[in-house]
Amino acid sequence: MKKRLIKIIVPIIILIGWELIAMTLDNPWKLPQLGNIISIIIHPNEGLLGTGSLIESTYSSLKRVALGFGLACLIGIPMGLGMGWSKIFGNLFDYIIEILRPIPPLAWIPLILAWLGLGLRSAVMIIFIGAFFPILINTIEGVKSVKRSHIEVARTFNAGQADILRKIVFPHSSPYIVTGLRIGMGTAWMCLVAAEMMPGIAPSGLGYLIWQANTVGQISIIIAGIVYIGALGLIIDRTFKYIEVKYFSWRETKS
Amino acid sequence: MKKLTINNLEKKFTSEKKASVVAVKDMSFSVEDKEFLCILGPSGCGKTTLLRMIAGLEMPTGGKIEWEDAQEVDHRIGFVFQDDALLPWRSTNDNIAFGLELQNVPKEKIRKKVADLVDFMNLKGFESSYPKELSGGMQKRVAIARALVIEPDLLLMDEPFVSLDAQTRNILQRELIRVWKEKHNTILFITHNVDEAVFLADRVLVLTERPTSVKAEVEITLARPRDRTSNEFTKIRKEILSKMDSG
Repeated sequence: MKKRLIKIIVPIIILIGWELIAMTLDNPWKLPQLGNIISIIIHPNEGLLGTGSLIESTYSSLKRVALGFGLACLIGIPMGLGMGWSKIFGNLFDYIIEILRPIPPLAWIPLILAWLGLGLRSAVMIIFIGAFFPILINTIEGVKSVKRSHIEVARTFNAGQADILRKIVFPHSSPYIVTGLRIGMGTAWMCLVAAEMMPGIAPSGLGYLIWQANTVGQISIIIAGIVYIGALGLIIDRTFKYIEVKYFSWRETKS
Repeated sequence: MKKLTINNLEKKFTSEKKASVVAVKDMSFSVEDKEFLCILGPSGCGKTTLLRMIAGLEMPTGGKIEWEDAQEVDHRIGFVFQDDALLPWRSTNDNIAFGLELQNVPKEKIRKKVADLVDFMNLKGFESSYPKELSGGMQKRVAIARALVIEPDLLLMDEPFVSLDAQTRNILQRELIRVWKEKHNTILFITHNVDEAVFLADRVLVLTERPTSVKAEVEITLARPRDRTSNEFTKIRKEILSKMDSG
């Protein structure tokens, strides 16, 4: 594949440049050689800085994301369906959503710490806030874009409200919802790492590991942690993309 | 089907600012059993509103829509929309099955009926295609099959062939005549194309501008299949055109 070949040129140049500069500098506190970083990455079971191994850190990060993201789905999808479908329900929550939505999730951290204290609850809450709005907004958008003529087709066959919701509104909205989930997951992941770097919050996870490595000047561990975060984010994003392509190939406009 | 009578039908739309537009006024006509009735009218005159009222998608603000056997409340109506309105997430088979699915017909029975209609509408080989994978003409066939699946008493068609090229349109007009003859339907077909009306209908109603009502009525007794280039065909076209133009 010629395209693949062209695409890897720049990353390879960067890696070679990195290695050259690292060798000339010869200072692992500033720029460690690639070998050091790779050896950390490929030994994910080894304990690091007394905070657990990369695997353990990944596990506790994923657990938090799963909890916060799951909660955002549980509330965001039904609420989005309701707000998109019922004008009254939509208007009822419209202002409060519009006011809260633009606030960066991390701005809530001090408040959340004050209200929920240190620990899992606070981390989950921040992730929830990050994931909730994209899921909600996309679900509303999906429901609102249902074509009137599709609903009328169902009505000419004497369909009731429940049938219309189940057989028209939900299938039409499902690709929008999955897009919301993908974006929400991206935000959740960012919020998680930032939350784990806050002082006093949940002493475990990839964000915490990176922060600990920083305090002791272990650049290799910082970079290895970043690589893990990036790779996991990529895998999750690709999984959602795969779902979008596989299950929603009927869509008229291909992205 | 029993005779359908439209009596002094009126539809007034009132906007939020209390301005009102009368789309249909003093509309009276009837549809006979197994008749192919075409309604011909200028764009935006309220033809679609009329059809939507008969289908129950819109409530009239005056007048009556009556079936002869008034005690039988539930009349099955098939509707073919102008833009097809096929459900893009459903395959050909599943789109056709939609009406039966909503009526909780057993799966095995649905499968059989759908297969028959796929055959009948020449859709073989496209059973599992999504609408976006079908040509415009094929999409029409699916839309017609979907309306036929519930064995409607009355088939309402809202300018169904308007978006097709001339050749495909002619093919589908011939197909529709075949469907009508074999299934013994009653069809109420809306169009603004005089040629189409003369080719298809037993009877043509010419409508006025908005607020619309019936302006003239023309019976067509030409034998089918009709020849668009014949003298008789041209004569009827001329007659209808002159009735459309007369104040």
